[in-house]
Amino acid sequence: MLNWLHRFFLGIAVLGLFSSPAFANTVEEVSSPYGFKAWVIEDHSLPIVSIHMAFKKSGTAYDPKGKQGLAYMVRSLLDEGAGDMDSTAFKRQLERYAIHLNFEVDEDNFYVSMKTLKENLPTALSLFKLALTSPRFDDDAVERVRGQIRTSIAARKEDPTTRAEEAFKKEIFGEHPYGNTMLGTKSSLANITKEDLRQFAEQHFTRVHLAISAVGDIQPKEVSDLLDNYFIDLPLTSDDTTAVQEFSTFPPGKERNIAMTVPQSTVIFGLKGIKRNDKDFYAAQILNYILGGGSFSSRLMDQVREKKGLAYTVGTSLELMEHTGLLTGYVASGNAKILESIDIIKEVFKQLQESGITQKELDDAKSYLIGSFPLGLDKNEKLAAYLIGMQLEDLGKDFLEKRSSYIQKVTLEDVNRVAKHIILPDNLITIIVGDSQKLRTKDGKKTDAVISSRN
Amino acid sequence: MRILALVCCMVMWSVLPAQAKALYSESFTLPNGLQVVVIPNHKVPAVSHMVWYKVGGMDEAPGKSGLAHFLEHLMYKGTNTVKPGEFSAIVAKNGGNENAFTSQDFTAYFQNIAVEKLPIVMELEADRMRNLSLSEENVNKERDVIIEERYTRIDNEPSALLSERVQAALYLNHPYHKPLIGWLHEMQQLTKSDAEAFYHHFYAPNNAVLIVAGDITAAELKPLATKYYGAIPRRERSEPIVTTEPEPLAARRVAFHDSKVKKPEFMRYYLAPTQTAGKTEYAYALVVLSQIFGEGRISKLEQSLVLDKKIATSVGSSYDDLGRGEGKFVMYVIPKEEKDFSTVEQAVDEVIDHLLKEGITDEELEQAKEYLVAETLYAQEGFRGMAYAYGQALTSGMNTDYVENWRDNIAKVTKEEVNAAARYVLKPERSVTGLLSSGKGE
Repeated sequence: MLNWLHRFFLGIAVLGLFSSPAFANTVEEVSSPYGFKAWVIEDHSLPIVSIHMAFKKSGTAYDPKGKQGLAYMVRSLLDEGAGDMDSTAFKRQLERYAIHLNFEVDEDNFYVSMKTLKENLPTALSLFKLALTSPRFDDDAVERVRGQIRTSIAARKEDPTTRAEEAFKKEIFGEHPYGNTMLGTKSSLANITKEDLRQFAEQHFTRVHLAISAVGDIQPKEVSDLLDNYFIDLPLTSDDTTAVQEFSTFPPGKERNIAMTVPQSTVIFGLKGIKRNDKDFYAAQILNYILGGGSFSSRLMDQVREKKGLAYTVGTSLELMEHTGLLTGYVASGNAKILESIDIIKEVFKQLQESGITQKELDDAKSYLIGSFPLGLDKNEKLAAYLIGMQLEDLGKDFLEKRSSYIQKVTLEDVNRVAKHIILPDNLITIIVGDSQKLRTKDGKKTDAVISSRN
Repeated sequence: MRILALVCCMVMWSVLPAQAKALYSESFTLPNGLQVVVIPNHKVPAVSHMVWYKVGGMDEAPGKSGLAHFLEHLMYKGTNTVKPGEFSAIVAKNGGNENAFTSQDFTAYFQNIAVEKLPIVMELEADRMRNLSLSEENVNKERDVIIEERYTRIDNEPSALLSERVQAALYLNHPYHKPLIGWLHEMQQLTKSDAEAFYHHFYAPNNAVLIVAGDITAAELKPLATKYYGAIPRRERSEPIVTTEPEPLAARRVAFHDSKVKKPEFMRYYLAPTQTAGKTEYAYALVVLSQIFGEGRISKLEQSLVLDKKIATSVGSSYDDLGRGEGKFVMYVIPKEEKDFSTVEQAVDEVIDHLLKEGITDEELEQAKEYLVAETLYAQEGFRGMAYAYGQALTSGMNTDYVENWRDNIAKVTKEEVNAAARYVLKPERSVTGLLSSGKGE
């Protein structure tokens, strides 16, 4: 699943995932003799271990100019052969022992997640280590994967949602690398060489910006030992100096149509949001929940779906990136109805900006955000991923216990102040992908919607 | 949001656990016929509370496709005491997550919530099992919503449109041939009285299973189940006539062109038995066969079409051993280019011919079984996964033993059984071949 959609889900998932007072997940910080740092939660109820790593500043926004898609291509090739094992041998090992070894990338970071039965931990760790330190990038694997990515790039043109996402990113970020397509383009993909892939691995899989977590049937001492034993080869330094600039100058609001012959129009909309480290983050989180993040309890669901039956899905989320923060949203309605949906959404934004939220909405939002927290952390792999997020955002080892208090502290004034600051309907960038021949204004007249297919 | 469960995505859930740590569940039945299953898991102080009704798309009368799923949506539109939309608001306010899903075989409603709030959701769920109260206005609005859902899932996606038509061609007579979401023209005609009739006919405790998984024991749940669900009267009903498949005679082809298509697709569906329909003795063997044929990382299809012949970018297969009616063994190939369709089909047929002639190897068998068995342990993680597994089993004609013995039954599958299952199912006359292209290539 592509990163953009992933971020959507991540945004929504982050809302539900936090803080219950009532469960005992103690986070232990481990520092190994050779200087690895990891956060560990022990759970011996099942013989399963999850170990996750994240490499900061190694995401798709760091792709060199003309070689967009490099990080994504590396991510797709890391289980295609390492050390002495070619692609087939490596994959057979993974499957024989039912080892899950996955690689993911977003705009900012590169992620590795591993899950294994305890009894296969040594095998799993060998494969994990080899993938990072000795990836083969054999010619036939590289060409095969290049072909697969090319197919994915083409497929993204076929789907209205991904078309809308790509156009939205380009529109809002302009020349900033956050606007790059993660998979790259056909031509940038063709420019990526084996040397580029090797260099990426050398420069990014290092200990410079590394976060590690381990959850499951394992003890802190074991984690410390395995890190030193298996990952000692990860370089301590990197000569990569690529920097991604902070993004804070947003373009003015606009609406843009992309023609596609489909019965239903898909809309992605968004504007400047808030960053994770902002002091008002929790107020914004509550605000987003009420606006469009809260499934059936949100204003958008209520106005667009429940009251008018205009859409199956409508919602918003906070897109949190290292160098910026967005508030984005989605709606899809039949071609003849989409303008009405958009108008209602803008009206909901306007209402929220002008009149803020109610005390009841605030209380219910807090109740949900706090009460639902443990539900999302019922599996080791989810806890492991969560601990990575906590480290990347510097939230502190005791965040799992502290979060409910951060949310409780938010006042009505806080949320309404943030609303005035962020909920600016005139700044909305709105991309509509659909059959623009069939767009109607509210009074039924056909619009002179300009068909713009700038790609 | 209410989601639609597509049958072909359920494969993962037929992989069920039991391990060194034995899978444990306790069941009992209330006097009114409600089956109850409790699955303790004390990792998190929360529970998954699920009510599964033994009714799905296949139970719809002719002309009423989409009704089962429509009713699932309408179950949120109010009872005698709970206003429309209030159900979800109450659950959210109490820190719970909730949703519902429909398949051809079953309809299920669930809430995941802190264990001390369980009585709240039990009361709500029991209330709407008996007291649903719909208004014309809400029914009409929700009909618009399910049509938008159809647009999103099917009409906007050429691949989904093809799958829908391939499924319709596979089932000549069984109600599985209708799309779960419904044909658009029939969805537009669904009425409030259609929904109410379906609800009164099928939604009763003796046609349902209550599953509670998480931080609770059977001793703790029993009084709650009796308190909230015990007073709901059973409803006897006549079973709908379900038409079954004739013996297949002729292979079918479905070709769909859409100029938007950038990623060509080849798919083939074979009519196959399940644990309860057709030649049921092949079901476990077919699970193993699918792993070897196309699901594994280095499967037969992968080796031949992707690695050796290099004519495909990706391949796969799937098979779900659970289903009230006969199921399907599915394979797909993404050709590198549209013009490769005939080469791809030829290559697929060669893989099948070779399989039928030579059978699988001992190594393939062992690796597939080891993998499937190991995955059953992962499925035990989390308080929710097992609830789904039990729910699907009990609404597909199986019992809790099936869930608990699945791992051992897979481990017992022999090479001969897999080869026999392949010979039985992979016959051209049992198949529909589907092709998706832009129409510009070939």
